[in-house]
Amino acid sequence: MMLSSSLKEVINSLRNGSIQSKELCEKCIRRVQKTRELNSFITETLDIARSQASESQARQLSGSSLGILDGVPVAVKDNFSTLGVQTSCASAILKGYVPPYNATMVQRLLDQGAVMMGKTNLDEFAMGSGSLDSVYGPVRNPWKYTFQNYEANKQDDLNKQSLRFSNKGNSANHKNNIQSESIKNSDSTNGQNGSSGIPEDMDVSDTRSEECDWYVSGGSSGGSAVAVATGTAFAALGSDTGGSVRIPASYCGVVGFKPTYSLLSRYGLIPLVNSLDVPGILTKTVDDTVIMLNVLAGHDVHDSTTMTDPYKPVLAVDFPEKISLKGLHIGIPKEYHAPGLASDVLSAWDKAADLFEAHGATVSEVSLPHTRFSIVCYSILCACEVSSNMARYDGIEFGHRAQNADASTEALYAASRHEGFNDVVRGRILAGNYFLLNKNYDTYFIQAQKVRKLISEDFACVFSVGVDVLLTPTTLTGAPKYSWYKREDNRTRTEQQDVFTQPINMAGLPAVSVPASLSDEGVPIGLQFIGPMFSEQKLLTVARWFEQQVHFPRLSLDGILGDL
Amino acid sequence: MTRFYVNISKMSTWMLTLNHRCLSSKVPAKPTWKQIDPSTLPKPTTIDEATISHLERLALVDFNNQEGIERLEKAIRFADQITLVDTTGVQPMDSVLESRNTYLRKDEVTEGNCKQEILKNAALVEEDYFVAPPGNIPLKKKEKSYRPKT
Amino acid sequence: MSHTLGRYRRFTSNFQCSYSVYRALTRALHHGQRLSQNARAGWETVVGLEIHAQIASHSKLFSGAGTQFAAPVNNQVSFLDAALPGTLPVLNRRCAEIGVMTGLALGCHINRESRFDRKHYFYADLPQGYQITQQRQPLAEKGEIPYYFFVANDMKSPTKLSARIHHIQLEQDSGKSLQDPEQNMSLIDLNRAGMALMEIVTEPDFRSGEEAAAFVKELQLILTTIGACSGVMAEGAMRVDATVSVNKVGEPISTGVRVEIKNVNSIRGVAKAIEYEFSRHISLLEKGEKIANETRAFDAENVETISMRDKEKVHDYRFMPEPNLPPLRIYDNQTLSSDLSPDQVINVDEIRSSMAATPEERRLALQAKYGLSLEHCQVMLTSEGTEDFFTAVMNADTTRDIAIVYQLLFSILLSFTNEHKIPVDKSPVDIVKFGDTVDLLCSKRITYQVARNIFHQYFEAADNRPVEQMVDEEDWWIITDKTLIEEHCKKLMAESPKKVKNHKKGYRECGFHKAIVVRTQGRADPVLARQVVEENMGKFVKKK
Repeated sequence: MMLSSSLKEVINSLRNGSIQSKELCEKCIRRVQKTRELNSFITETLDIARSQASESQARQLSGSSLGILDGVPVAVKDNFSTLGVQTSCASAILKGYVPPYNATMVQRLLDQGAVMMGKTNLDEFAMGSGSLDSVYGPVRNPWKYTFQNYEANKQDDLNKQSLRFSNKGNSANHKNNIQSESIKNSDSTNGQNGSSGIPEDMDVSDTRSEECDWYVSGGSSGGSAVAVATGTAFAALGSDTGGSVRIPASYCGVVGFKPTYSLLSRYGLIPLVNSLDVPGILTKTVDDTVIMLNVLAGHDVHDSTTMTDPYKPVLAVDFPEKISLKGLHIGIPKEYHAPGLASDVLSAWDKAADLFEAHGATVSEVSLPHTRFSIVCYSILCACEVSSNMARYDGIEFGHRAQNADASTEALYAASRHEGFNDVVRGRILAGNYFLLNKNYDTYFIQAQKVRKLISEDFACVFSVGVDVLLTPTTLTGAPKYSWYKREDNRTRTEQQDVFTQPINMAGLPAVSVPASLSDEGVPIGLQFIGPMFSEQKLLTVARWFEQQVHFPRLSLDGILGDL
Repeated sequence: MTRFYVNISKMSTWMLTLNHRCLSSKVPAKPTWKQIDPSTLPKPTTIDEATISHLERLALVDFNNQEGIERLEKAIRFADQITLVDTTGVQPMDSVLESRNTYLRKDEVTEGNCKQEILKNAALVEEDYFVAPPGNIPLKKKEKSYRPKT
Repeated sequence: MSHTLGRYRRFTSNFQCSYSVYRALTRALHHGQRLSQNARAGWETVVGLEIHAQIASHSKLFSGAGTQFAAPVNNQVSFLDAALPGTLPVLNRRCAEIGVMTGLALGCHINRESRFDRKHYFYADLPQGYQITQQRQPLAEKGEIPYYFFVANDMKSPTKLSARIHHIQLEQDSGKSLQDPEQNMSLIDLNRAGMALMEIVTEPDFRSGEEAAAFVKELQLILTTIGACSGVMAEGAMRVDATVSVNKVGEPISTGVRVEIKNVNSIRGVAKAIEYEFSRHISLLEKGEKIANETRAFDAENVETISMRDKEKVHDYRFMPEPNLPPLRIYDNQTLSSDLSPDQVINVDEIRSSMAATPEERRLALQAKYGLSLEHCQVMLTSEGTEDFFTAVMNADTTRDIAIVYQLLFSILLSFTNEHKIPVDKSPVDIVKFGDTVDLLCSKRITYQVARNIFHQYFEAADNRPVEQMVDEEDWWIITDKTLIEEHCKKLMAESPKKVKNHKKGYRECGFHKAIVVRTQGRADPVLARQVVEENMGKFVKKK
């Protein structure tokens, strides 16, 4: 039962002594081991976690806690730099790369005494909406997942295990898929990384029959969302560029929060699109998000784009009158009924709007006229920044370096980059370079920047006439099946899946996805709340109220994996 | 096969009234826009050989195969939709922070002096130097002397 | 000095209009002169310059790593400089201030808002795969500075020319690569990567290598005077790229094909590289051949330019705004806002009023106050500490003869300080002793030779006596007794009859006046000595 607790509940338990850090850490470790099939972790830092938990316990016993998160297991997406622990961005090009510094977000968690369970899986370089395009294999949604062979995962020796999806052999039986080569990374007690060999003929396509299909976790922060949903961590760091925190939150039935751009520091977050990226927070409840936000927010001298005004912590408060929401104005952007919106999502959205209205809020239809072009604009700006951000991966100072390609600098770079990047990344780099060519610059890049301005103004206009919060779906459908998802390529799926989430990144606004209901297939549907810049207090208050009305069922794996 | 449990009893009643809505909704019942008609777009771009080699040279990333070329053509086709937006009089937006000033740091030496950490992740190092293939040496061609007559 | 400076600054701002007319006239006047100098069978030779000057700050442009010259390999490198993923640039305030100061010194308009961009290309010494620079909106634009060009090495009367500055931008320097031909590799040192540079781009206003070199020299003087850059070209603190083209006289400049000569690191090299290139162009054009639009390097040893063929530039840099740096805003007294914290504000008016005077301002002030010639001003500006010393001596007593002060300082004192390698302000001859010596010279109580003896005592003998006391005790007072001098003269005439004969016959001057000075330990008034010798020997007239 403990692992299905919220962050707030577990903090109370640690404080009042009903559980101690070491015991809590061991429970989470066992859950990590039992849920390996879901492939949510690239690197498990279990020994580090144990020693952190041990230190935390000693501190708590002597009454000298570091902070509110002291002793709490957390997970970190593998595109945040972590000192002494491999940071791969799920890419072969950063194979074995161990940063010499912690990202500010990570540092702030560690300064509080948080216990790091591991680095979670993602789409390579955060490019994708499904967490399927990782060199370490796809992430699986725990909802309606048929666990097999979790007994076999009881072994602690990670070097003998791996999860690999091969189209050779009988795919119906997971047991056959366990190979002797390791793709999981283990830490040793001094924090150094174990071997991180990537099997040469890594094949991540999964051709199991329909009955062994699974639901997509969403991406790119799929690993983090699954870590929280399964109880291996009580909060996780993700990153959100076009919906990468909110989409997996929606599919996995957890809360996914995207803060206002510039509120949280990006120092150490390996960038996808610098002008859109933000660190995001995944937790079970909105109260948990508030706790995390208050720890993480605030100016960072290492990041010139962070807000210099002093940060005012968000308070977890109720509306003045518990029943009536009088004075609150909810906007429903009509363009968010986009082509392809599933009927179960539409119903949930409908019901939510009615709920607010029934409790006294003003609910009105608004318009964000440039919504349909937002995804196009995003695709151009994203490709351009990606092509620039990826220029540093040449194998000279760090990262994968090709062998036998030393004829010239250009030949070496080309070989290293060919071997290191997957098709998705290479495709975006080429597209970005195309758009940035002198002859194309005005047609695509400048035009996209102008459209971005229009999108931003759409939101500003709506908020300026008194709308407090916008309510929209997070995704077109509930969590999709893997077999369905793989019918189209990464680029196409991103185009489709990000439709409701990326406009918010373009305008730099805060947004949160709150689990709302279950789809017709019984997997989660989330709804998105969007506020003006720096309106976290109001936004999260509204989200919290909604969450309290919905009573969305928390995923409990205790029955399947053994009561912990 | 083990079953997957969901604790249904905790769900609020509002979920079960999905089909019994009595309040009028502000949510539009039908999609409010359609996908863009491709005939309204400019001519599709095909990538010729010259562009392929130019891009591969600039990006130092290869297309790898026909699929890669098609991927780019599809991306350009998708991006072509942006030309349909009327942006007369609109200023391009670099980022949402345009009205903010860049942070100014004091001129102090606070970093560096960490050679080991800097070199640690490099695949190839030679006596504290990073190693790259040879190149970028000006070629010395024997040209006729053009020294000015003094 | 600052009083004069203030007057000069007000003068120029009040009379901006007539000053620019003056400039235009000067340019027109000199254009004809320059054309005739450089005209080579009807060809016009045009140069534009791009100078990269390393900003003299303690830390780098966007990171906190140090900037010392010749630090241990890869030890002055931060995570950002090594392009480790996830690192972000943070602008060094001092670099922006120095950029503003340089813009002001070069007469530019300072852009109140400037932005940063990424310029993409792959190179082993550029770990990020792009350079952060300012392409769209640089820090400063449209300036102009005067400089002095000595025609045919005539050091006495320079021509005053003027060159326009197109813009100044801040940007990152790259690392360094060493070629190791034996092991067939390049070794990369990133110490220099990320250091702050100002790229100063001129209009194509130069018509010869010498003009360009003279401009670079003046620029170097300006930058060192205001403390923006060390100016040491041998250490790479200033590097010059010259774009050169040749066109027929009368044709527009754009008809000439442009060739860029990169990274010239000496002032003489600038002149030589450009002249070589002009000759090469003219030679090819006269044969009817085409000039290739390319980049070349200057080989200082062989004094020629060579094609940098394997650095075929892929000209599309795919510029993109730098998303991690919001705009750099510069304020002034009008636009200053109270909600900004002072350490986050750069005020151009404050910088203008507190910056050191530029060389031109100092020259004009020296000329206005003391009537010094341009040549004398130049000497003073290029000898460190002398201006302050000079003005201190003059301020102590404004009636002192300027010519005497100048002569004593530059002909005598500086020869001692140079020999002993000590700065002027640390010399044993301080302002008081110097001033006293000047006074004795002015009142004709000692000669220059005696002054030299006095300084010799202070420098070599660690003498501490006040000047007048020393002169008195050594009996070094000037000898103006004509009878005494005549005695010496007659003695000399008696000792060397051959010399007398040669002098009178016009073969060789006797030089007795010098001998008299020597025999009197320098005390004889040299003018009187010469007069006496002339009276006794007759004036020397060289026989043809």
